[in-house]
Amino acid sequence: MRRLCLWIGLHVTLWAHPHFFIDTDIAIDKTRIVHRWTFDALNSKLLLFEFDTDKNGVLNQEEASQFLKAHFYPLQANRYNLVLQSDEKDQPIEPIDVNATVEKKRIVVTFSTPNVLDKALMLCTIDATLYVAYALQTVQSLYRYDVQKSDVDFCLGVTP
Amino acid sequence: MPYHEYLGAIVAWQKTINEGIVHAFETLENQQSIEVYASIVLSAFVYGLVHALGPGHGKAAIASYFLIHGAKTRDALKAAFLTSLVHTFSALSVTWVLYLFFRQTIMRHFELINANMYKLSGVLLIVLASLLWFEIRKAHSENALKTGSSSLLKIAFSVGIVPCPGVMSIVLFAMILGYYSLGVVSAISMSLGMGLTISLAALVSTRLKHAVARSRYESALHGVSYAGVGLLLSLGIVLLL
Repeated sequence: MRRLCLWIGLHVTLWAHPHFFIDTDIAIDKTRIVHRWTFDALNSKLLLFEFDTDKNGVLNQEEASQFLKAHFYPLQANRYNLVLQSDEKDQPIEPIDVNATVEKKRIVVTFSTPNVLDKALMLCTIDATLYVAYALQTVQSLYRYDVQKSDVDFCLGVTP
Repeated sequence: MPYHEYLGAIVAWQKTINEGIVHAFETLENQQSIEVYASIVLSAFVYGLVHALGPGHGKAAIASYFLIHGAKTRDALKAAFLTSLVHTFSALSVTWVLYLFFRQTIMRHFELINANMYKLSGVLLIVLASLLWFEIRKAHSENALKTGSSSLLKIAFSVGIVPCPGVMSIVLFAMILGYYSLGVVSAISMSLGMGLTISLAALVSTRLKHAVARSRYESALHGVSYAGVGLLLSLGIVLLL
């Protein structure tokens, strides 16, 4: 856990402060890790103003696709704000089953990353630019895990 | 308190205020009352105050500037509030223009404008740092360095030109719900809150400069001035990259 603390400390930028607040839920099973990002109500309203073009309060397939294209896929440049290490080696991050919906007026993005858990795994969600603050809400895991979290970012250490 | 914990606390407060503002606007939809209007304006003030407590280029630039000039308390306050006003009005203008003409791409355009304004701010800070460097070299004594209104305007404009995304969020949220005036008043209230926090950075820097000026080491005084130029220049380069 000391290494996790150090990692978090090193990645806190000096020149920014968050403007988006995302509540995160994580579910870890044998083959995948499911990430669920729930945007704050204020920014959800602003984003829906732009992307919910028919103004019906939900994102249809086309609207969701446009939203993800503008606000999710560009995160690829920063590895989707994820750190995934197995046996201290960076693992590729290729989100699958990516979807954007609206629940209780808040935009929810869900996606999965493949999980081959044969060695100790470290998973962190963090925006190094600090434009987005990620707060961990819940974890469901088949395996034992430790959590290091703040109101800005979090890391999980998972042991198979 | 470790830096990361401090940052976490600021973020948690901001998140709470952010949720409070949303809740207040939802209440306003069902119940129009002066108390709810007042609570939104007050929340915006506190949001500005807390928002500026986090790390940001504004406080760093203002503090660096006053390491060079070491002006009076009144000038420090003036520069801080001018900066937050420019920061707010920049956001207000951009939001209004985007709301009127680019409604379907408003968030994307704001992010694009914001990113480019950061670069412009970086260029302006580099120019300002260079001008101040020449000014220090030209001055035979520290007394020759004066802090005029135009000088304060230059630093306020260079720093504040970047539109504040926090202000944009609150204003746009209010506008979408049809509360145009309330959005503008909340933005001004938020800028006063930010101004108060930025003032602290300016005042601390001014006090530091005065403390060095009272010491008998003239070289230290020059050192502090050049350190201010160096910090301003570094900040400009960081924003530009």
